[in-house]
Amino acid sequence: MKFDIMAIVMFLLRMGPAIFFVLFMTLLFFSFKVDIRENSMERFVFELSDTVTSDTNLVADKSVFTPGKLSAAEQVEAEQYAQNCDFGYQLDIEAKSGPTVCNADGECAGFCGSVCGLSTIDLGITGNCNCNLEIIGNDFCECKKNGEWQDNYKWRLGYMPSSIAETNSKFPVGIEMGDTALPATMSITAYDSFLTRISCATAKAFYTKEKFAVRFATNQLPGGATTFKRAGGTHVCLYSGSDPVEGECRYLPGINVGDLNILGSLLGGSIDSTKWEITAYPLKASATCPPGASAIAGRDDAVSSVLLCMEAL
Amino acid sequence: MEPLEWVFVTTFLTLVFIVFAVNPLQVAIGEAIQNSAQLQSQRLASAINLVQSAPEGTTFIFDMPKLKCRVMVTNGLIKLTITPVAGADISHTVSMIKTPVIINAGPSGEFECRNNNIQIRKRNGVVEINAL
Repeated sequence: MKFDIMAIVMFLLRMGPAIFFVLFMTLLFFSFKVDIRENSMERFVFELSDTVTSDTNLVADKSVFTPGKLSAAEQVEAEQYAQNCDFGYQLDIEAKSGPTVCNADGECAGFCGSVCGLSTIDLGITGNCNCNLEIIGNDFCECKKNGEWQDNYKWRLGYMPSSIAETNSKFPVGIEMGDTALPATMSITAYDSFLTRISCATAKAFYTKEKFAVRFATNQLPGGATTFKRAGGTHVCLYSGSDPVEGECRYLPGINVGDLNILGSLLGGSIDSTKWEITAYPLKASATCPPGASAIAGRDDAVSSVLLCMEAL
Repeated sequence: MEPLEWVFVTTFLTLVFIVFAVNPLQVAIGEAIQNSAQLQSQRLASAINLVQSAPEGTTFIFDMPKLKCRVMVTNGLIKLTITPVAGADISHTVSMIKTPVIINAGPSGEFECRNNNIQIRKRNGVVEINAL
């Protein structure tokens, strides 16, 4: 048999593109990996919309809100109607119709009662219900809610603290007006914050009897927060000294949680630490950080309290 | 080879790759989803959330992952623990939307996955969760 080098080289050169193609496809095949992503916060917003628009504490009929119920709900913590441990939320409901046209203060009594939930209506600019005079355009009704004049059918439930991540979606709804309904928009903003993470880790540790860890960077801490503790009763809050940080409280009844000294942990850690971990331990007996195995509740134990320990990573 | 022959060879090789690669990829995606404690617990939480706000009598059958795992439903939380063939258990806990609607998941609130489906039903204002 004759061994022709040239013939082999020519064959390889001609086959080059095909060999290259096979190698390329092989590379594509082996570099394939499954990456599952779940947009849980977006999903929560849509499910919350479904929950809220069928909650009889707020609506007269599916997606038709009752002004009186909304005004009452504004006065209580929104999370008492619907709470998701992982995310907090704020609801804004606003009519699309704009201001209510009026000719005299007396015409605004219904508006003021509905929008501001006023039980005692004091008409006039010095009172709490007024027909605002406009030089150009129509006069419109306004009423005082929480010390500020409001001129539209709108309500806000929940609160919006400093967040790590947030998402927002809008939904078409109605506002009950006698026998009809005003077209309105419900805007839901869900957020993930330091407070939601730490309070949810506490709840998960308490109810599942497992320890839960939360990691965060120093810059994700709300400004001025020095302590996380129960604010008496049903809420837990972040405190700055002895005062709760504005808007940084959460409804978390029935769980005995020990105070977490955030400032003390920050000062006690390494000066250049930027990443931290808070671990929530379910305890059956009182303990200090880090708790011994004998104090941590097991699957068959009753959880008496949750201990939060913070350390630098 | 002539250009047409190149086109033929390339097309043939591409088809071979597609035929032999697509099926394993589909299986891999299915397996990844089935084995994801995070995704499965989110699925169940979604189903319960929707039934909570649904009209009376609404029933949803949740098909459990076809592997060795258990689900615990308690106090607005769902914990799904998967026991893999090798290695330690993988568990994930997600929260449902907690409303005044009562969720009755039985005395223990625990369900085994294998060969089981879960029925989520709203009756008399209570969401009942039962193994089928």
